[in-house]
Amino acid sequence: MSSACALDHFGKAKFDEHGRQQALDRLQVVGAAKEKPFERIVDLVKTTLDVPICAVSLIDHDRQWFTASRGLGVDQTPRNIAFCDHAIRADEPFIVEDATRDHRFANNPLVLGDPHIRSYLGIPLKMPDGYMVGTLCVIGQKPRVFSPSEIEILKSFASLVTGELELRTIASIDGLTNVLSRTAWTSRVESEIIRTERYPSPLSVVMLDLDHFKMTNDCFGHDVGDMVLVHTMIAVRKVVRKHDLPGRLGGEEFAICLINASTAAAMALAERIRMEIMQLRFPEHDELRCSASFGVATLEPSETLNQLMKRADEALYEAKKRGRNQVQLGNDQLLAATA
Amino acid sequence: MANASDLVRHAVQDQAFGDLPPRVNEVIERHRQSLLYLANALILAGRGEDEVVTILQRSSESFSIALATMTQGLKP
Repeated sequence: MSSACALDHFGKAKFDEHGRQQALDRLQVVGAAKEKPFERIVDLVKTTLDVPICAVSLIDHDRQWFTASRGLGVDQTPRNIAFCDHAIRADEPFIVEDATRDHRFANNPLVLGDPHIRSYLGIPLKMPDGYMVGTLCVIGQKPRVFSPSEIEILKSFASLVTGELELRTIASIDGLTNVLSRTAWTSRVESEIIRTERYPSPLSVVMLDLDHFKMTNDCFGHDVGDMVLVHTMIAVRKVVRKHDLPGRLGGEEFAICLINASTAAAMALAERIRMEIMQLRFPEHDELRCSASFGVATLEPSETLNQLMKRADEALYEAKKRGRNQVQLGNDQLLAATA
Repeated sequence: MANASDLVRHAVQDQAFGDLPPRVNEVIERHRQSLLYLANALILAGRGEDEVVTILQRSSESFSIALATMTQGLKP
């Protein structure tokens, strides 16, 4: 794991934005639904410190995303006006007692307009790898001096948020391949399906099953089998977009949810993954070759995840039946006829 | 006034989950430490014993549920 900061020649910590963003991406929480556990902590902080506004803010590429908040009324703001973007640049509490008297913030739209920030205390959410992915922050609409004990209280709540984020990551990520576990993948894709009902856009699923994987395990051993699984997902990650959702359904079976991807786009992407997997080589096992079969299905109006997966699975079965190492499309007409 | 450790013990019962991956054990230990810091900070801020225990319990609820779900099937 790379370190979060390196020291420059003045001995000052340099900000590693790329590594930080990767650490945030690993959490897979930005853009997801509001998180109840964090809302509970936000409520507790609000009451305990008697503040009108509290939020768990995650700093994404160009925005801050509130995974839980009270008193704000927005889900996100541009990053370039976010107080929290200042807070994540040092491993210490970031305090603004009166924003109107601070040249960095006096003309900030969040100070001049809603939510009329005057005082701010943000504690960076520092993950165990050292990267600061966001903050737990409290905001006041009057100038305020935060006492040392209030700062300590918020710091303790912030480390509870970090622990929750870490536990969730462990639970939702497949330990071997580093993609979403089956449960986490299902939950995320169900959320995406709900989102497409609200904001219509195409959503496709690609199911992928490694061909003759049992033979790989039998001939080369389970360690090599595991290595194949890991490299298969590295190949998948080379092709999919940042916001697509790869997951391990079990064994050698994977699924990728492609957000805002038409059938044609999903078929093309599956084909590129197929080619990448065929090109996998393992220096210590020259004779080992890999291939995979694919089933693709695009979400129909009112369709459930189960129905979508059934069609993708049928297409995958068809790909296996036709000789493996190919991409097949789910039968859309079949669903239309039974809907 | 009981000390922070006592209040944490009172608020959050130790859960036994059997053999857990080291990374999970580290998270559990860090969570316990965070509760301890929180208890200390609340005591220093002059909060009463009952209030501290309630805050600790509520702060820990979702973590305990997430942990129990994650370790379902593991016997101590």
